[in-house]
Amino acid sequence: MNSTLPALLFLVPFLSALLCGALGGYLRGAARWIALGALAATAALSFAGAALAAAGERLVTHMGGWAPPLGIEWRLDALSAFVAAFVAATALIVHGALGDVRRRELGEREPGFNTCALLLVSGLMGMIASADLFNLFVHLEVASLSAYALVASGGRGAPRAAVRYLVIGSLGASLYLLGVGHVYAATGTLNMDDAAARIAAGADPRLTILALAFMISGLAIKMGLFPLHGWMPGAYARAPLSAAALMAPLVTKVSAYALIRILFWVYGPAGLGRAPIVADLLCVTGAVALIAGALLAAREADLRRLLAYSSVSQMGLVVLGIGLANAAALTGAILHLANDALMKATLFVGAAELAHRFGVREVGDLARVRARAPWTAAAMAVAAFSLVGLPPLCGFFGKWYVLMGALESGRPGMAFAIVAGSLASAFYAFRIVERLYFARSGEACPEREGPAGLVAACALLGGGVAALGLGSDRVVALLVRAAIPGGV
Amino acid sequence: MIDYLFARGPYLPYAALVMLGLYLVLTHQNLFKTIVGLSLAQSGIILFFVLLAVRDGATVPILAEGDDRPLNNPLPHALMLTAIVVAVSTLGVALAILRRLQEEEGSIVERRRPEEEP
Repeated sequence: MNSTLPALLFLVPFLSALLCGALGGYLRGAARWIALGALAATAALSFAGAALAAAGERLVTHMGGWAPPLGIEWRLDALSAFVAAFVAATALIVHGALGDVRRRELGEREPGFNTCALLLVSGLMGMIASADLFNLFVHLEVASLSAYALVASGGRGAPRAAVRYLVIGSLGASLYLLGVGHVYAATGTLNMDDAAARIAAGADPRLTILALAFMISGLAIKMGLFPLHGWMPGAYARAPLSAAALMAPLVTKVSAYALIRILFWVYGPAGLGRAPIVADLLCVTGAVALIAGALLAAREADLRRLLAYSSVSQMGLVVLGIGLANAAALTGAILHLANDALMKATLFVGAAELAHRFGVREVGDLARVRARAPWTAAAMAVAAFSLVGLPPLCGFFGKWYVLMGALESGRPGMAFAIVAGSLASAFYAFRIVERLYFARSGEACPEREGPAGLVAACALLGGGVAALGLGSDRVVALLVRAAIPGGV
Repeated sequence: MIDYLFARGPYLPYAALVMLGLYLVLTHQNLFKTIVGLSLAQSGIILFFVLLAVRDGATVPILAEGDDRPLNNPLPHALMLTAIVVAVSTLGVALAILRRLQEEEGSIVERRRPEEEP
């Protein structure tokens, strides 16, 4: 069905970002409300898109009325609608929750920060809705450039972390662009469906496989796949609290979505079948990342660095699911994108509140806030349990589906890696829980948790972790199952 | 060998630029030189796309009356206009961050000691 909705998902935050930047210097209050309103509108649009996608609709926008393959196509099918819905909802809740933190952290730089945050969301939405390989690159860069700026707006050490992020991230984007160039050289098209048809019809495999290698390496950098995760801990620990809470749940997930889109929609089983090593390599890298990320997290003292390494581990599970490439594993990988977004949003919002209110930034200091922040502690504990994969929290179901996929495709080694990764996750996740609930507290902080809106948002996100777990069979039936490509 | 070089020769500068850029990024501690390397690598990729557009004996893609020579493919050029804008923006953001780094720490050299990790 032709609709402007897919393009609006990008245009609403993008145009609001320009408005916010232009007005910010004069009407700071108005700019603040514009930012929040734009995110709310984006979330509403993406939910409308998800409802239509669940009803079996497939929304497409043809820019300027030019039909593909000549024109640039935007598309919202079950997969992109699902990803857009959780990305927009998470962005809205996180951005809305952290208003006070942002005001104190950034002062008069807040309008610029809000502009960058909106640009980040618009870039992510563009990546999700784009059905054109080059357009995907442009949106990847829109999102990345605003992410670099968001990191750099932090305090001490932030510029250094931002430069590192920028250099590694730009290399990733350049590799992706080089891959797009090779696809274009092989097929003469950039539209995903058109390229898929020509690759299936037997475009020069030397070029298409090289292109795939370039694109996978580029996106692997962007999604922080071990061992290409070097930018992530520094960026998330040094960014302003409000920026880390916005970026950490979303940026890596959307890059993983792009990888799924390219592997299964552009290349498809036929294209991947010509290079079986690609799937094997993804499986092995994912399994290594799953375990190594958890072990790296276990020895980290800084809460936000620990959470960054935890993302490395969770993205490993997603890549493992992608590499297994059967319906169950892919269901797990797609579902786990939403799971990890929600878990990381809970933990980063909680971490932002504790640092903002109590000045607590280290895992070891969490014991001091237990009695003062019961709701925040509960929400963070729920998310931590979910990271390990305790049923019925959402993290369990992502792992469960990928595990089923591994057994289905007869790879007990991979299944073993998932179990080992879960055990390794227990080291860092239970450390958070232990500090929050069981450790001797020493001197407690004088204040109580707050502000109320922030605590409510943290509790809401923690509740979401439980709700997405309890309702995961319905989410899978409604959206994720329809998002599995045919022939897998 | 000669034939191979003649056919692939134009791609050599592309490979050289990307490799030179990567070499600078990987080996230099001065972050300004790292950014220069990044820029070189991006220029190399732009050159790659421009080379894709070339056809034997073709001319610039501007339609003219009575001229039926084959035309080069204009699409990669259009794509690279966008990629150049992206590369320039990246460079701008990078330089702005480097300036803040210089103001804050008085140096733009990457440190290798673990206790100074960001």
